[in-house]
Amino acid sequence: MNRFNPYSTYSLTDLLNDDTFIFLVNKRRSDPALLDEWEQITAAGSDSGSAFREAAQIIELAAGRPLPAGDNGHEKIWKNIATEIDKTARVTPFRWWRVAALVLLLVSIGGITYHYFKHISPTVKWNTAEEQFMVVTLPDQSTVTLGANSTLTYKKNWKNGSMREVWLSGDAHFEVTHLNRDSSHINEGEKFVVHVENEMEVEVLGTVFNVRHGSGKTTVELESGSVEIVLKNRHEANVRLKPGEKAELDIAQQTLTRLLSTSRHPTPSPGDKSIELNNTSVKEIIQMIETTYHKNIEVADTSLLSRRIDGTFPICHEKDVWFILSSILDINIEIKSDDSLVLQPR
Amino acid sequence: MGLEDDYIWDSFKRGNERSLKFLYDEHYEFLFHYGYKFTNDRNQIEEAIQSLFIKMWKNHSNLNKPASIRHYLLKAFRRILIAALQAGSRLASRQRSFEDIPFYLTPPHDENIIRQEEINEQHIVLKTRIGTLTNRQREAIYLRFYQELSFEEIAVVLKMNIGGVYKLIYRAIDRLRTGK
Repeated sequence: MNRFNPYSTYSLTDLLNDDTFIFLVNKRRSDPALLDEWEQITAAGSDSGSAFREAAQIIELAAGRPLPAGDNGHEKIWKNIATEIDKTARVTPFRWWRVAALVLLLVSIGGITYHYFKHISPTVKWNTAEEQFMVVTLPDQSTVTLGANSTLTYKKNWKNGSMREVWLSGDAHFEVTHLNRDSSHINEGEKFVVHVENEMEVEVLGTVFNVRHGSGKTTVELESGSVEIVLKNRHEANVRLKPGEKAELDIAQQTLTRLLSTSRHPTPSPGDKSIELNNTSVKEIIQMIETTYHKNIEVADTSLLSRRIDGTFPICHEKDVWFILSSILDINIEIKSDDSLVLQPR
Repeated sequence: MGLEDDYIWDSFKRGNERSLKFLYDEHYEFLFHYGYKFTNDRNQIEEAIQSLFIKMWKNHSNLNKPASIRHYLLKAFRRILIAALQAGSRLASRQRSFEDIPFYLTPPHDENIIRQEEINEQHIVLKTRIGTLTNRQREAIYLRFYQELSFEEIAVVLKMNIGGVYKLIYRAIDRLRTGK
């Protein structure tokens, strides 16, 4: 394909008006293939050849005299320019390695701070002994009523927007402050997680629930709100509980069973009412409950009655009471159809 | 502007010295070649190029992106060189008008010397005719045929309107073709 061919019908003026023709004529100098094509087409005798030759002559003459040989100051002048650049740039020279070092430093500081807050920051640990319970208020105002022989651990400082975490061994009744606004979009930072030993994690949004851990099984019972139970062994799928449901994990078998809880929904009453107990006998407590809640309470094992309890007894929710009692005394509380309660040892 | 030119320019605007060097290397010879049409004095030409790139560096963050880097450089270079030539009174005072800034397409001192290679008579005729063109006609055809600028670009470099450029070039071609 001869690139000059399309021009064979052009007049001199046409050729001198064509950007591409001008470009090709100039490019011949450095392109041997192009030069060959040129030679072919301007072979003596052809009509178009003469117009081409004349056009090329004009184009070449318009260049004027060529540059003198040598570098013509190319290198020398750049040195001067570079010196000038250095002078003006001396205030804040841009050096890649300085930026890299700064970034590295910032990242390390960030990493150390993060690590500190995540792992080294002070933790709070609450223990209850036998026959003792305790109400703990968490940094987000959630309350945890710890049952007997239980331990609750959490980091002292809770950051806004970070997931709230507590570690539980034993029994506890949780009332978690609700943070999530849109149940279809749950942020990590809105969750509240209870780690139960190495067995499960209970992920909570805003909710009232109980966790019981002991005697070879862990039970999570949901009163209101929503929880998601994540098994650490991950063999079973996560279980999401609805209010009124209960999940029981058999630790040996690693099976998770879902049950309807036998307790009923609490009727919350306003105000933070509680009672101080100082070596108070169960008998007295039962009397107090019977009066306050108008319930009939039956005790299967009368030896329970003489046991004594220490602590602050919250009376906002009826359910709390049963829970605490059952935990402290290690009993089961069954609610009968006629609304009376039966207390039995576990 | 091609993609590569575009990238280099943006990089230079952000203060990348290497990009400026790239532009310098790419266009140095073309600028010198142009300067060499106005004067024999290589020092003046070198100084003008130096001045141009230093100015570019100092203003890099304020510069607008040109449609063509070559065009931008030629335009700026011409302004600096002419100013230096006029200030240095290389041009006689009466030659300071626009038209009279000399533009040489053949060496000023050997206009009449016919070199061995030029056995083609046509070539000699053309060369003679080029000598009869005006300075601006020569500069216009130089910018068009050697630097490959468009009519609009030439108009900007020469600070004329585009109609004036058409006239310059067509009249020059006519004279070269016919001698009239």
